[in-house]
Amino acid sequence: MIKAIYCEKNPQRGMMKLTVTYPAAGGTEDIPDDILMARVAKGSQQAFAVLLHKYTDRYVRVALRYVGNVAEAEDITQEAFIRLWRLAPDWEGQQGRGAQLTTWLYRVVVNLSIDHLRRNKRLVYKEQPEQEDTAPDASGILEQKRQSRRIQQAVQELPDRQKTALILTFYEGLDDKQAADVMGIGVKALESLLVRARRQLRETLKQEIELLTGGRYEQAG
Amino acid sequence: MNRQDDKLDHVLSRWQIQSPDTSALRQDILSTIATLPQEPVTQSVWSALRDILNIRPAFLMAPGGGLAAVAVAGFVFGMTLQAGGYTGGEDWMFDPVYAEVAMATPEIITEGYLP
Repeated sequence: MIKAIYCEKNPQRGMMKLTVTYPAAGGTEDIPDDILMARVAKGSQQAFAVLLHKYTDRYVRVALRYVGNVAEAEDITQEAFIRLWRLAPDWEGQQGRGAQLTTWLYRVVVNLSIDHLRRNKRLVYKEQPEQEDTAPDASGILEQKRQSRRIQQAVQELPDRQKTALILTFYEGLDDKQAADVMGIGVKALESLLVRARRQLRETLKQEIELLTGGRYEQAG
Repeated sequence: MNRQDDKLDHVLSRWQIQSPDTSALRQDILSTIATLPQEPVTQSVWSALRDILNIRPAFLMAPGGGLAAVAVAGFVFGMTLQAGGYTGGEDWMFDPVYAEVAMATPEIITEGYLP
């Protein structure tokens, strides 16, 4: 794919010099999303493949935070990208209203994940029996897994909007404005959701925080 | 951010997710779209208006938004009556005596007097 074309006049020969540059291998990620979407709108599967390469991992990860299951997270991500493909001819209109591809994809993946949880009546956490491991640091690894599961469960127990605010800002690293755009709310409302989410998490993860701080943890007001 | 938040963040950061290998998923998606036609999305009048005016559903659900919506609906309904939507062009709504006469007779009343 051509990355850029430069055209300059050569004063000595009075001729135009044309320079065509190509991206280095793997450089397709530098191509802006709007250019890729313009090509996808014309039916380019290659451009769509570049978008998939750029973003699939990210959105599978987001869905995984909600549903906790790789196969279901992949189904959700697939559905989101198929929707993107179908509406691509209308994407210019979306762009005119200021929609960014990443924001749009976050919104669709989050909504599909929440719908999935509602349909399946939330995740049922079962304590899986841990397998015996004789490796020297096995107990440490098991404890890490248990701790990770407790944190996952605490986050999953948050109301949907608080959970989404936390996942987008803390785990996905979006700033407040971006996360608020994804959720279709104002920044103040997002901050309020985060405050409530943190308050609940400080309570439900009290034990983990005490372990971390050697029992000197006091609940913040 | 205070120290309590720092400690909470430290705990939350221990929820690690291993990114799965998504190469097979990408292939699945590409093979799916290869057989899928792209269709322009048709937009409803309401959603077009909502996008143009930047109205979010929460505005209408909030107490202030609901009151405003009821006020607008009441105003429109009242003006419809005044404009003759239900009275055949006669303005009797705010005159109870005249309204009583008007409703008691099958005759068409013009200018507030029986013919």
